[in-house]
Amino acid sequence: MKELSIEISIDEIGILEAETFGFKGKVCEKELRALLSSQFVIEEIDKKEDYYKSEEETVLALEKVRGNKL
Amino acid sequence: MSSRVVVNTLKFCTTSMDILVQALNVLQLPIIQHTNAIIVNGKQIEVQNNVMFMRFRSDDSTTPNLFNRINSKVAEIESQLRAIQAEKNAILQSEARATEEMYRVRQIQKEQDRLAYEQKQLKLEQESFVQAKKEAIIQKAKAMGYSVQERVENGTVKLKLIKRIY
Repeated sequence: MKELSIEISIDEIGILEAETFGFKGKVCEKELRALLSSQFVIEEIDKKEDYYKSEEETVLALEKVRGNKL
Repeated sequence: MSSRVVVNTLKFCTTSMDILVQALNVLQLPIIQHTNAIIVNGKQIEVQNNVMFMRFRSDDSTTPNLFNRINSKVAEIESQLRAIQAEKNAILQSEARATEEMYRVRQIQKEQDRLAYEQKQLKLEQESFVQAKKEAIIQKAKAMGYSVQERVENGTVKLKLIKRIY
């Protein structure tokens, strides 16, 4: 089992910060954009080490989860 | 044989008939008041265009003495009136300053109330904004298969979105 998480904080004036955990590769950015872009303007993304790792495994896993839900 | 008479004129230091009459009353001099003249002790004070004066011959020493007595009293009364007026002005100025200060305090209070109201409104709007954003994220996250844990720390909303994959 693999756990993917996103921690989000929204301060009193509505500024949001989000950090992903367990994602590998660009999928984390895609996931954040999918989650937030309809409500927020993303001004800055700081990429962590995992961003540059292979995302294949994670993408497959995500698709599997979504497939299961359908 | 010829004679030469010089007539001198002494002008009073006031243009106010009231002050002149007041001075004469204070000096307890008997007066007879006419339209353009006042008779004092048989001497005439003439009035022309608010200018009051006494004429006397150069060989007359009593008129200048009388004039000096009256004019000194006139000056004294005018000085007292100026002091009273200055005191009244000072009181009026003080009252005006107090009124102005009260107005300024009321304006400051009014401005503070307005700012407090605006800050309260802004806070409510921010809370409403944050709440709306939070609800939208939660809804979207659930649709994307995440479970959501929520807590608040020092006014900051913290969301933890978790997805387990097998």
